Amino acid sequence: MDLRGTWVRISRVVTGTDDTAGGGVVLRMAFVTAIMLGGLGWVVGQAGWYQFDAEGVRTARHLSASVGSEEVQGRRGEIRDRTGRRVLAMTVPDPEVVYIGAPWDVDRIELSYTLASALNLEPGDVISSIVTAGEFARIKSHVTPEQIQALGVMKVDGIRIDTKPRRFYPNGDSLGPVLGFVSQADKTEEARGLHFLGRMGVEAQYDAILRGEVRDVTLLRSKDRDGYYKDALGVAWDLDGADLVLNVDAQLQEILDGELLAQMDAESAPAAMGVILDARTAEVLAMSSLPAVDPNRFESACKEDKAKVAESGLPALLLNPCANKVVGYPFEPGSIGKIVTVATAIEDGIATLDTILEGHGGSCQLGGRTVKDVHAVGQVTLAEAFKFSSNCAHLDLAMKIGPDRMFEGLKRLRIGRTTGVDLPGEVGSSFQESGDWKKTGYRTAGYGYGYTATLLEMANAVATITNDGVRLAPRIARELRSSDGRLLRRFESGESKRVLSIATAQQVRDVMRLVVMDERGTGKRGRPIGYSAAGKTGTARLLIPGQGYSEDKYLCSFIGFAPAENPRIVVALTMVNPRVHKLAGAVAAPVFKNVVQRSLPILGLMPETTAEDTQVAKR
Amino acid sequence: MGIRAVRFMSSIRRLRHARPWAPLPAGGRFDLALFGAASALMGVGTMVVFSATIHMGSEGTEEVLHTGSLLRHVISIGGGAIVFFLALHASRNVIRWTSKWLVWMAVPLLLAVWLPGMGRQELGASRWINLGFMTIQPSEVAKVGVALFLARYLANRKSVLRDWKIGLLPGAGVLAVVLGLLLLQPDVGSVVLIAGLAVMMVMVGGTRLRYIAYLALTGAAGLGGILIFNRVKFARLVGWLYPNLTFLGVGHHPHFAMRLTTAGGPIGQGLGEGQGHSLGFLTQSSTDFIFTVLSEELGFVGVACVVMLYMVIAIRGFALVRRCREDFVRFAAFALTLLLVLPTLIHMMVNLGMLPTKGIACPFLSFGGTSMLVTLGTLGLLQRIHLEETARDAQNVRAEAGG
Repeated sequence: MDLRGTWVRISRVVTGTDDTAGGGVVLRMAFVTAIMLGGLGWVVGQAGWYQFDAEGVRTARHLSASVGSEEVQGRRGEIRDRTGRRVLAMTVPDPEVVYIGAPWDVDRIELSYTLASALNLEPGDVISSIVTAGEFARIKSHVTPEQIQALGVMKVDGIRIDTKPRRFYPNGDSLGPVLGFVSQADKTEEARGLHFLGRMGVEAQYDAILRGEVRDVTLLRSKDRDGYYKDALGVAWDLDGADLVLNVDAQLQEILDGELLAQMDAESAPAAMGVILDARTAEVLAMSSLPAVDPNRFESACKEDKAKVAESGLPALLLNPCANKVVGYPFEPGSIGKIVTVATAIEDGIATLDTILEGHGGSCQLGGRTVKDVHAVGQVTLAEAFKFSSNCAHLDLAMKIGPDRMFEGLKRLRIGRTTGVDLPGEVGSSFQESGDWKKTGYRTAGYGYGYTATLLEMANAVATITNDGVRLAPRIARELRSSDGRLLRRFESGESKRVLSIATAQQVRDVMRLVVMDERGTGKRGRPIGYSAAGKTGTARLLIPGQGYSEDKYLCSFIGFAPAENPRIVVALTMVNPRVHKLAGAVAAPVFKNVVQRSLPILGLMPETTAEDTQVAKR
Repeated sequence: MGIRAVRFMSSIRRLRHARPWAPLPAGGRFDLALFGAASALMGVGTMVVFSATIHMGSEGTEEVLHTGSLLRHVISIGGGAIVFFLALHASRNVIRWTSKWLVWMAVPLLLAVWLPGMGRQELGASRWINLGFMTIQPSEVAKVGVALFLARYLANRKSVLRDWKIGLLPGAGVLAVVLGLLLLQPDVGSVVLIAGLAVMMVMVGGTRLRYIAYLALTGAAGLGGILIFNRVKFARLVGWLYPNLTFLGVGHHPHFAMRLTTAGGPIGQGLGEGQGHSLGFLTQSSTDFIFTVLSEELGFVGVACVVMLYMVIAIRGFALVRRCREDFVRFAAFALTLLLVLPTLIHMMVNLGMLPTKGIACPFLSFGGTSMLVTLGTLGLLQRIHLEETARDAQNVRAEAGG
């Protein structure tokens, strides 16, 4: 076979010429053209290899639309006071510098030194975190705007400013234990997709409403390669938590806090608590549990100070700044409990205000113990006995009522059975009719011992009386508003239940009025200038768990309402272990007076200046 | 005055007496297949360019559909048509003169990109000259200059090509000047293209294969040097080899080009439906990555059709080469064909991740004024050669028939 001849024939066909010199060139050109055609064919083959792979096409179409997803957390709602203007808790952005992996050719050590100088950190720490991190490391949180600006000027690679939400309480410790606080989720909560949770108080109670949604949002790459478009613009707004408007009035809260703190100072009292309720709706207008924590520093402040507790000899709860004692500390109410005794007696038709009670001259026997009165009385009317706060006379009244009806009377006003307020951690004592109750317990209950109640339960009982015998549960929350201000929901006071007749309520109010307005009443120092008021003092010996009654430690309470004729607010307050005075009439009543005097004008009730008041003022 | 300058001046004097404008040769035929393929490609290119630039409306303006780039593209094609028409009427004297001096005219242009106020810096390179009303890219001029220079050089030195001293070295010197200036810009894409063109031309010219190997080794050494001293190029190489290392900041383009091509599927996502360019995965989507946009939007069908059109151009180019009887014309026709096909091949291979990323526009398809003018000028010259060759053949046939 003539290979050479075949090749000549082939080359002649390809080149179209017999000219060997020119033909050689054309042949080589044919070769190059063939390479080009082959290359183009290869391109088509490669494209087909990619494009006929159905699985790959599906993946690529998905990937080209999105570059992953990011968790978007809605803003936690604000908490505002009843005016809707004063912010009690808000969420502010807290910038944080994170390292997200620099381009491969960036010197990590140099980068670390730049970061350290910009953020005022130790270079060694930054180096170790960046070098060990690989692709992600938190460098610094709580970064200042100046530091962010500095980073921008330095054009640091591989750095991103993340903004994390931080809860901020503008009013500091005012209302602190009531509002509670927010902290980062632990591992199990994180597994449920939560990042921040309200831990106590209102923040915990309304956590689900406030916290906003967390959603995985698919991200699309945007034109400029710095940012991302979310798949649904505006989604972040839908995720925001609702704003919560409270019944609390920040001004009244300020007054209550201030007056209690002033008296704590004057009496060297280590703790105090107080609450203001709306006399008609039982809305919580103010609630103080002092000492109070600043929720901005909850984590560090909530640790129990053991040394201080031991030194004071008081129950640890009373000194814990994070505990809301108003709902969480049941105590024997002492003389303020006589309100319940009187209400029970009148409601059950056992006594009237004129019924004569035996005061035993200020000293009577009960189960081998001697009960003594501060103000000794003999045989007096019920009204007189209440005015002078005679223990023996109320013991007598309790015997007239009897154990069963006494128990019913307490239960009716939900004393020791929690009020149903919308706050977590409400502690009820849920006492039962034990054997002891039938013998002596109900009798001590006549003057406020032998059972326990929280201050809020007592205040709520008085609010029932001021509301003509209709009981409403106290409410902290007023309404919900969306982050753009629309009203979402108004919180109702729950079911209202008539527990006392109107006449009974009127008569109890009348005797309570005597305590304050009568010249000889125990609570006369609680009489506000320009307003009428009613109330009851109560000095109770402090029961220390495991030690029995303390010899020298008292809880001095005052619970009352104003104005006496057409009640507007119920104020209940307790000073713990005052050192200067011992009696509630001297310790607690003046606080009531000041609180009422300052609060009622804010609620729109101007003082009526009587001639008598003017004279007092002149004197 | 140097001898070169004297020759340049005298050549201009001669040009004055020559007729620069030559009417179309009688009996010549258009290469309709070549013309049709080019027109079809420009049509597809216009659609894809529009699709790739539709989202580029400047932020904050009322513009919803960005049509400015489309308009500029159409104007470029219009300008290209004029250049095509002029090239069609270029006399052989003009072509010869051009083949001799165009490469030297490209040198001042390549230097002008560094002139303050004239040069335009973009994307870390100085590749453009701003003339106020338009921007020109001298590297495009240099490509044609080199192609025609090589054609003339090879035709003149055909007999001595096997001697590297007088056959290869002078030409290599000229090329070194042009490539050096291009490397300064830096424009590695054009360097690779011109070097590849030169190697192929020298090969078809009939030099020793040994020299080709030496050239390849020199080129490889040069590329190695670039990789060592230029982090960006090294990153591109790493990114090409490992397209999934995008988190390191490399391989962005190969990664997304491959992914987007795949997303096209057999019939594509539809014109304007591609997500790669509109979402900014790819920068330069209307120029250096137009083929990716095309493969994503028109799918395999589009890719196959477009590649077939380029194959038609390559085949018609070779068919023209076969007709040629004169060495210079033959080399010129082949070099001009390569100017249309070689960048296309490199562009497509870059777009499919078969070569490391480099910025090479696709003739006929890509957005870009200078590129379009030069491409259509090239096409015009090819058509001119075709007209002349067919006219001569027809004359011969008539002569034979007439006896």
